[in-house]
Amino acid sequence: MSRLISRRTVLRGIGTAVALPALEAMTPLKAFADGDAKPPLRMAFCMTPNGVNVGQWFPQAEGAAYELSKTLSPLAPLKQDILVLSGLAHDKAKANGDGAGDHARSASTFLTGCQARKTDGKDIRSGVSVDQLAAEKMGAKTRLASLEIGSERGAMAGNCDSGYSCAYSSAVAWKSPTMPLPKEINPRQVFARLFGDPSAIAAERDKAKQALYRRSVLDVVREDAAGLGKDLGAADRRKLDEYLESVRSIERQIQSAEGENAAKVPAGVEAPADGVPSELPAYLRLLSDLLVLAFQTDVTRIATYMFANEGSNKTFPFIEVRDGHHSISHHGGNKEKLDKIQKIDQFYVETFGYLVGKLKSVKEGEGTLLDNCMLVYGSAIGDGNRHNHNELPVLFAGRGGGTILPGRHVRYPKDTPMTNLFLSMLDRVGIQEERFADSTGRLKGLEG
Amino acid sequence: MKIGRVIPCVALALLSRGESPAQEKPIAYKDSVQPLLAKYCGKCHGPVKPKAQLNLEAYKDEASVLKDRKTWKRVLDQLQAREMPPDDKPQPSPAERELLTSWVEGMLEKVDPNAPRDPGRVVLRRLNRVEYRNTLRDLLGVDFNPTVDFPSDDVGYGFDNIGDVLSIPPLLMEKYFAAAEKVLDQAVQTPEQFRPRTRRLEAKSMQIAGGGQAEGETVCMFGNGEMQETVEVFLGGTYVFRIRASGDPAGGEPPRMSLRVDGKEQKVVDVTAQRRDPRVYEERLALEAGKRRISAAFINDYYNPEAPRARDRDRNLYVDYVEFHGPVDGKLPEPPAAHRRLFVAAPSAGRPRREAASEILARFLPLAFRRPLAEGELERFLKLHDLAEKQGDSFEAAVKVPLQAALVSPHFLFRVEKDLAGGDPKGVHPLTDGELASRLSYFLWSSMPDAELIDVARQGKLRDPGVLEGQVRRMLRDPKSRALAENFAIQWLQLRRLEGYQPDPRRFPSFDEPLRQAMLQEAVLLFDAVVREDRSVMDLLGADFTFLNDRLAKHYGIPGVEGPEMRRVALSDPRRGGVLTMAAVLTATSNPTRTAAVKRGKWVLETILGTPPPPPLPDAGELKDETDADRRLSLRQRLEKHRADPSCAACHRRMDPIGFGFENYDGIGAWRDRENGQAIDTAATLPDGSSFKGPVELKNLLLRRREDYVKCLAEKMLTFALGRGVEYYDSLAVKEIRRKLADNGYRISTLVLEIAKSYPFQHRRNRSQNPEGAKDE
Repeated sequence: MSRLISRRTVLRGIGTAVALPALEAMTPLKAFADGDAKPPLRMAFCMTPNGVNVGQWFPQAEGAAYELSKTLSPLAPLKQDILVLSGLAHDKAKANGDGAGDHARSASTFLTGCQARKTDGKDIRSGVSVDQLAAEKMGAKTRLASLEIGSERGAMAGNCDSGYSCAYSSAVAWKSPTMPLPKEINPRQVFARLFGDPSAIAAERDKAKQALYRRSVLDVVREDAAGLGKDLGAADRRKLDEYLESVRSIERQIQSAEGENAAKVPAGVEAPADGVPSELPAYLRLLSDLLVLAFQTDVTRIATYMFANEGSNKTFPFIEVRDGHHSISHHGGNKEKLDKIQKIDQFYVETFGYLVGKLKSVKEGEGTLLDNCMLVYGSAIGDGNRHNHNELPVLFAGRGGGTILPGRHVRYPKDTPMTNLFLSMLDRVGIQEERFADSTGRLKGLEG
Repeated sequence: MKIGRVIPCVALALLSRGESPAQEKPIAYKDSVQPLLAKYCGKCHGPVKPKAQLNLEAYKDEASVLKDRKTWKRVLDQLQAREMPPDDKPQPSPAERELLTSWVEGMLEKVDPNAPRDPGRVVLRRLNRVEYRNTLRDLLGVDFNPTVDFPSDDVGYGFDNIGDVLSIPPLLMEKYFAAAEKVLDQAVQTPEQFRPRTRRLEAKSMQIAGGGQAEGETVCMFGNGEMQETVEVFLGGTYVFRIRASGDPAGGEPPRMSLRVDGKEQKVVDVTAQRRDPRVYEERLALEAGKRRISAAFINDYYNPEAPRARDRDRNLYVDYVEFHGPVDGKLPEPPAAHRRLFVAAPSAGRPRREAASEILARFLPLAFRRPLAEGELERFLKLHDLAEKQGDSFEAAVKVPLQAALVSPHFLFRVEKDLAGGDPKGVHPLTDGELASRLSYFLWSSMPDAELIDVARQGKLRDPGVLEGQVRRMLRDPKSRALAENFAIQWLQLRRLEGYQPDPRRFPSFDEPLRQAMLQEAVLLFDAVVREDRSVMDLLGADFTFLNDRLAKHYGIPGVEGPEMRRVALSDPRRGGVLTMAAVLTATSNPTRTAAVKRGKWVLETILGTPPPPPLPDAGELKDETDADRRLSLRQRLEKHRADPSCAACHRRMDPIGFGFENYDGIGAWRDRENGQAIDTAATLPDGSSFKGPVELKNLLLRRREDYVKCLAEKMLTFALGRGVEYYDSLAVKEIRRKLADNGYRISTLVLEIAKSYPFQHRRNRSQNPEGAKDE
C-alpha cells in the first residue's frame, strides 16, 4: 500500500460514519439557483421538545464576555458563531383560556406565533409559519420551496395532548393556517427529495419524456379536481385546494429538474442507506448532514428540523437516561430528574453544534456557508415542569450575510415576543412585513 | 358546530349508575342551574356590558340554550378547565361545579325531537395509508407498502380515517406520484423493459472500499480493494460487461481485476494495458433479476520500494468505468397476473390500438374511481395514451400513462360523495348505492368494494330487503374483514402507541420486538375471533380464551405453549382474558420505567366506559417530590396525597382506583405480587362506593357497567365507520344501535349491521348547513 487511504465521503446512515468532510472541494463554486453569484441567505429552525432545565441553560453574564452555561458547553468551539437570546416568549403557547395542552400548543406556536385552535378532530387551525411565509416568497427560486425533517413521525394514537390533534405536536411548519406540513424522517427519502430517486429505475428512464408525461398527467388531474369542485361544499373544496396546491408544487419541481440549475449531487456523496438509524446521535447527525447538503447545493433555502416531536417520550440510554423525556420533564424540582434533563438538553445542544459546525466547514464565496445562514434553535416551553412560555431557551447561529453579530448573550425585556425575532429575520431575506403574528416590533441588538 | 370530546359521555353524574340504561335525574334549569349562573357568572356576564359579549341571562330556557350549543360548549370548557370564574372571584363548590358541568354536557347531547333529523356531513376523505395499500392490492393485485415512505396520517377522534384531518401536503403528493409509477412498473410488463440496454457506472461515483481513490475521471486502486454499486436488474440473462481499465505492472505481473456479482467472483482479468493507454475489457456475465451488487476488485497489490527499477515498485489498477449491456439473450417472461388483469384487450387486425386502450380504461377507471364514468371522462384519459403513442411508446407503455393519471386523480385518492345536484343546499338525501357500497367496504375491509358489492350497487339493489344485511354478513365472513380488528380495534384500544414504545430495557429486559408483536397480535386475534365467531362484544372484556405463542405465554406464566406461532388457548385463571388484562394494553398505559396507575385509569374511562376525564388543570403538574418525606412514600401514597388537593380530587378519584386495581401487572403487563419487596395494595373504592380488591374483582365490576361500555364501543365504531366525530345529533342513532344490540345478545354482527343501517351511515346532507340552522364550520 503506497498512499494514504483516501477520505471517503459517504453518508452511511448507520453507525457513526456520517462525515461529510471537505465539501467545498467537491462542489465547484457555481451560480446559485437564481443565477446570482452572491450567496443567498438561508434559514433553518430547529425545535426541541419539553423545555429545558432552565437553571443550567442560561449564561449569567451578558454581552460578548459571557461564559457558556453547563448545558451550552458543547458550543465552546462555536461560541463566536452563536447568539444566546434570553427573555423571548411565546404568548400564544399559553392556555389563554384553552386549558391544558401546552405541548401541542408549543409546537404549533413555535414558528407561527398563533394560538392553535383546540380540537382533536376537525378544523385544526394555527397560522402560517415564518419558514413557510419565507418559502412562499423565496421558494420559487429553488427546487424545493422548503425542507421539513425530523426524527419522529407524527404520533399515531389518540388525541396527542389534552384534546389537541396530533398534528399540532408533530409539525412546526404550517403552509396555511389549516395545513401543517409533515416531515420526512427517513434519511434516504430526504436524499431522494433533494436529488431525485437514487435507484436505477429513475436513472434509466428517459428524463425528458418522463417530465412530459408527468406534466400531462398533472393537466388531467387538475381538470379532474376542477370538475369535482363544482359539486362540493366548502370544507370539501378546502381539501381539493390542498390537492391543487400540492399539484402545483410538483409542477415546479418538474420544471426545475429540467432547468439548468437541476440539483447535482456533489461528487463522492452517496445516498444514505434506507431506514432509520437505530442510534439517535448518529441519526440526528445524519439528518443534519442532509440539511447542510440541501443548503450547500441550493436545493432549498428554508428548512425546519424537529429534533423530536413536542411531548416526545424518547429515552437516551447512551447518556444513561432511561426514563422518557416527557415523563421526567415534569421533574417537580427533583434533583435527580433535573440532572437527567440537563443531560438531554446538552445532548440536543451538542447536536445543534454539530449542525452549525458543519455549516461552518463549508466554504462559500469569501466566507463559509454559515455566514449566509440564520439558524434558530429552541423550544416554545421554558421549564418543562412549569410549562411556562416565556424565558424560552433560544439560540441563534450564523451571520445572516453579515447583518448579524454573533458571539454574545443578549437578554431582552421579559415577555419579548419570539415573533419579533422572526420579523427581523424576514427583513433580512427581503420580506418586509408590518408585523408577524403577535410581534410588537423588530428585535433589536442582533447587529451587535 | 363542534362538540368534541364531551359527546361520548355524560360524565360525573352517571358514574354511579348500574345495569339499567342511563336514566339520570333531570337537572332543572330554572331551579338549579340559573341561580348558580347568576351567583357566580352574572356579575360579568349579565345584560349590562357583558364580558366577551356573553350575556348568560339571555338564555331564558333550555330551548334557547339548545339553539346556541357552540357558546355553551365554550362555557363547558371554561368551567372544566377552571378558567372561569376567575381566581379572584368567588368560586362554586366542587359539587356546584359538577352540577353545572353535567347539566351543560346533558344539554349538548340533547336532540330536539321535533327538528328534522341531521345525518351530519363527512368531509371529502383521502384514503389513508392502510386504505391506499389495500385499495391498490384489490385494484391491481400489487402489494405496495406505504408505511415506510409516506408521512403518517393525522389522527382525529382517535382514528386515522377522519376526513377533516387527512390533509394532502406536497410531500404526500410527491409520494403518490412516485408510488403510482412504482406500482405500475410492477403491474405492467412492457416490451421496453426488455430491450437490451446499456448502463454505465462511472468508477469515480462508485463506492470504494480498500485502497482506492478517484483521480479525475479515473479511480486509482493502489491497494487491494474494490469499487462497487448496487443496481436494479429488470430481466435476468447474459450481460456484456465492458470495463475501461489500465494498470501499472510491477513485480513481473500486471494488476489483476476480479469482477464480482453480489460479492462472488465471476471472472478475473489481467489488465495488461498501460496507464497511458487504457483498454476496454469485455466479459460476458450472467445476472439474475433484482438488486445486484456489481464490483470490480483489485486483488494482487504489490509494493516494493526496494526494487531497483522505479517503475517496478508499485502495482496499481486504474478503472474509468464499468459498463454493461443486456440482456443479450433475454426471454420475455409471462406477464404477471396483475398485467393480465389490466390488459383485457390487445390491439389486433380488427381492433385498432386506440380502441383496445379504450376498452382497458373503460373497465379500469370506474373501478379506480368507485363510480360510473362521466361524459367525456374516458376521452380525457385516452388522450394520455395518444400522447405516449406519438412518443413512440409500445401499447403497454402508452396505456400506463393514463393508468398513472388515474392513480393520482382526486377521484381515486379521495372518497367522493357528491351533493345532490340542484337540490336544496340544506337537503338531506340518502347516499347513492355506489357511495353506500364504498362506505361499507372501507368500514369493514379498509378497501374498495369487490365485484359482487359493485354489482349489487350498480343494479340499485343494495337497499332491497335483506340485501344489505346479506352483504354485511358476507363481508364479515371474508378474510378481508380482519381489517376491522387491525384498524378499528387497535385504534379504539389506543394500541398504536405500543408500536414505537420502548420500556426501559434495564427494568424490563424481557421486552423485545417479538414480545411486542405477540402482544399486538393477541389483541388483533381476540377481536377477530369475536367477529369470526359472531360472539358477544362482552367477550372483548371477559373472554375465557385468548391467543398466545411461547413468548407471550411465558410472559403470562401459562405453561404448555411451545413455538412462535399464535394459537388459541383456553383460560381457567380469570386474571387473564379480555382486553383489560392484556399485556398490550397494560404496557401501552405504563411509563418506560414503571406502571402509571393514572394512565390505566384514564384508559378505562376513555376506551371502555366512555367517560373520559377532562384534561388536567394547567397548574396541576405531576407528582411533586419536594421533601425527603415525599420521596419515601410509595407511588400510591403520593397519588393519594395529590388527591388531597380538592381541585385534583374530582378527577383522580375516578381514575386512580381503577389504576390501583391493575397494579398487580407491572410496566409490561407481567403478573407480580410484590413491588420492591412490599406487598401490592390493590384494594380500592370506586366513586360510586363499590369496593374491590385486585384485578379480577375490578374486572367483574367493570363488566357490570355493560350499558356504558356498549354505548362507548358503539360510538367509537360509528366514528370509525363514518370517518367523522360523533355529534349530538347522532345520539338517536346510537340509542337505536344499543337497543338492537340488547335484543340480539350483544352479538358483534348486530353492532356492525346496525351501524351500516343507521341513519347517519345511510344519509348525508348537502353543503354545510344543518337542519337546525347552526353552521357546522
